[in-house]
Amino acid sequence: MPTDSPRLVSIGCNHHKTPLEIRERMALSSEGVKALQDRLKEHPQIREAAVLSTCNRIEIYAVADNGDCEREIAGFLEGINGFPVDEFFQHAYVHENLEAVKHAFSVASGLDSQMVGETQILGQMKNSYAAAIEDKTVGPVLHRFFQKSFQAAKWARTETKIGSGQVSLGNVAVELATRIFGRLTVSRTLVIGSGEVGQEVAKAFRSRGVACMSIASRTHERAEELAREVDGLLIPFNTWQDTLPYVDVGIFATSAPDHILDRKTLASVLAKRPRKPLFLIDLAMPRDIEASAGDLPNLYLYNLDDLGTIANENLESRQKEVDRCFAELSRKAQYTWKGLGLQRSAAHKG
Amino acid sequence: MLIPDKWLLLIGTMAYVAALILTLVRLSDRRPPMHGFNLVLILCGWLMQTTGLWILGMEAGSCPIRNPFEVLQFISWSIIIVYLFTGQVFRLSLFGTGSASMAAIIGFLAFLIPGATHIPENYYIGGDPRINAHASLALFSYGIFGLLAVISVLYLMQNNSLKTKRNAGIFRFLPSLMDMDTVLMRLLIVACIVYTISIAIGALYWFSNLSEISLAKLVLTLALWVVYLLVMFLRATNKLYGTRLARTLVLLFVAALLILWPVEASRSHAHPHPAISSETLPPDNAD
Repeated sequence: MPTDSPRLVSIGCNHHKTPLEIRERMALSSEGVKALQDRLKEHPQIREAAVLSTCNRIEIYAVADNGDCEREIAGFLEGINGFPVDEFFQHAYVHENLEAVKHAFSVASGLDSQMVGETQILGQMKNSYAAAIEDKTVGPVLHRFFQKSFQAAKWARTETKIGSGQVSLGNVAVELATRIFGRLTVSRTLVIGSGEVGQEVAKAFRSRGVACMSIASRTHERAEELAREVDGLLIPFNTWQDTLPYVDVGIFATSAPDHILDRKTLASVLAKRPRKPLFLIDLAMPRDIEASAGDLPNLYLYNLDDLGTIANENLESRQKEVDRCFAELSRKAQYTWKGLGLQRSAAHKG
Repeated sequence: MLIPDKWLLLIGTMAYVAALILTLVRLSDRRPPMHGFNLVLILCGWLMQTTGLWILGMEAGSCPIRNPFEVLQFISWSIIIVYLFTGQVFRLSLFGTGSASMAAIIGFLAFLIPGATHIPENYYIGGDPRINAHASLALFSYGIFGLLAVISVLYLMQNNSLKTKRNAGIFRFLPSLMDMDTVLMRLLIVACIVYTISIAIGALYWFSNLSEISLAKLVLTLALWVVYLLVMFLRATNKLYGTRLARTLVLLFVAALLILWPVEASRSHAHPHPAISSETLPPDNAD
C-alpha cells in the first residue's frame, strides 16, 4: 500500500562500471523490458516506473514509497534474464531524488554515454518513456521528470559544444577498415541485422564507396529498407554464412540472444581466404561473435566498446565544454527537483 | 679528425635522422608527416652519401666495399636509392621515414663498429670485374632486403595496433595492411631477381676459380639466396603471409647482416693479393 512519502529512484548498470561481457548477460529483449515493466507496475511500493534498456545500460526510473524496493527490482530482473541479484549489485548504481534527476539529465544529454555527446540515447529515452506511457506506469512525477530531461538534453545539444568534433561509430569503423584494406572501393561488405547502429555504420561504409554491400536480416522489412538506402543487395538470412569467405568487412547487429558466429567457423572462413584479412564489427548486444575469435590471425574483431573508446579519443579537447555542461545541468536539475514536489519526503528521510 | 668522405657520409646519415625526428615531432603534435620536406631531407642525405661513397670508390678503384664500414654505408645508400625509386610508386605512408630510419641505423652502425674502416693490407677486391659486380649487386639486394624489413616492421606495428585496438599517434598514419602486403610481394620479387643476378655473375667467377672460393662464403651466400627464393615461393602460393611473412623478413634481414661478417672475413682471406696502390696498379691506372 503506497505511503505518502515517495522518493525518486534510478537504479541500473551501465558501461562505466559494467564490462561488456556482464552487460550482455543482463541484456533485455523487448519482451523482457515489457515483462519488467509489468512486474514493476504490480509492485505495491512502486507508484511510477519506466525502463531504459540500451546496449550500454539498463536503468529503471521509479517513484517508490520508502523501503528497500531496489533489491526487489533487481529480483524482477533476475526473474526475467536470470542475472543474479548479488552480482547485479556489484555493478549497479542507485541514485535517489536530486541525484536521480541529475543522472537522468546527464543520460538524456549524452554526457553519460560511451561516446560523450551522442544523441541516439535521447531517442532511446523517448522510446522508453513512450513505452511506459503505453503501459500506464508513468504518473505526474515521471511525466515531469522525463519532459525536463528532454528539455535539458535539447539545451545541451543546442547551447553547448559537447557534440562538436565528435566522431561517429560509422566513421571510426570506416577508418579502421581503411587501415586494413586501404581503398574501400574494392572491398565487399556484409551487414547482418538491421539495428539502428548497424544501419549507421553500413551507411558510413557506403558513403566511402565500398564495392558491394550485402544485407541479411531476420526482419525482412527493415533489411529491405536498409538495402534501398545503401543500394545494397538483399540476401536470405539463412545464406549469410556462405557469403562470409567472400567479404572483407562484416557488420553484425542482430538481436540474437547468443553468438551466431563462433571461433571455429571463423577459422574455417579464414582458411578459405588465405592472405586476405577479415574485419568484423560486432555491434550487437549480446554480442554476435565469440570474443575469443579476435585472437585468430588475419581477423580484426571490434565491438561496441572498442569503437566507443576510439571515438572518445578526442574527448580531452572537449572536456572543458563537458564540465560546463555538467555544471549547468546540475543547476537545472536542482530547479527541476524542486518542481517535482518530492523534497518534503526527501527531507523527512534525511 | 674525419676525412671529407667520412664527413659527407656522417652528414648524410644525420639528414636521415633529421627526417625521422621531423616525423616524430609532427606525430607527437598529432599532425600528419610532411612527406615533401621529408623527401627533400632524405634526398639531401642520399646526395651526401653518394658523394662520400664516390670519393671512397675513386680511392678503391672499384665499388667501395673494401671493409665493414664501406659495406654498411653501401647498404644504407642502397636502401635509400631503392626507396627513392619505389617510394613514389608505392606511395606508402611513413615508408620514407622507415627507410630513413633503417638507413640511419645501418649508417651509424658503420661508424660505431670498432676497426670497421680498416682496409686489410693484403685486401684486393677481385681484380676481376665479375666478382666486383657480384659483390656490388649482392649488397644492393641487401638494400632491398632492408626495405623489406622496414615495411615488415610497419606491417607488424599496424597489425599489433589493430589487434590491441590502439588508434592514436603514429598508428593512424601507418599504411594499410593490404597495401603493405602487395608492396612486400613486389619488393620480394625484385630482391630475388637482383640477388639471383648477383649469384649468377659470381658463379661465372667461382666456376673458373674454384680453388680460391671460401666454402663458408659460398654456403652462406647460396643459403641466403635459397631462403629468400623459398619465402617468395611460399608467399606466392599463399603459404606464408601476414605477420608470419613480416617476422620472417625481419629475421632474414638480421640474419643477412650477421652473415656479412663471415662472408667479409672469408673474402679477405680468399684474396691474398697485394693491396691496391699506385705501385701495383697497371700503368694506365696509376696516378
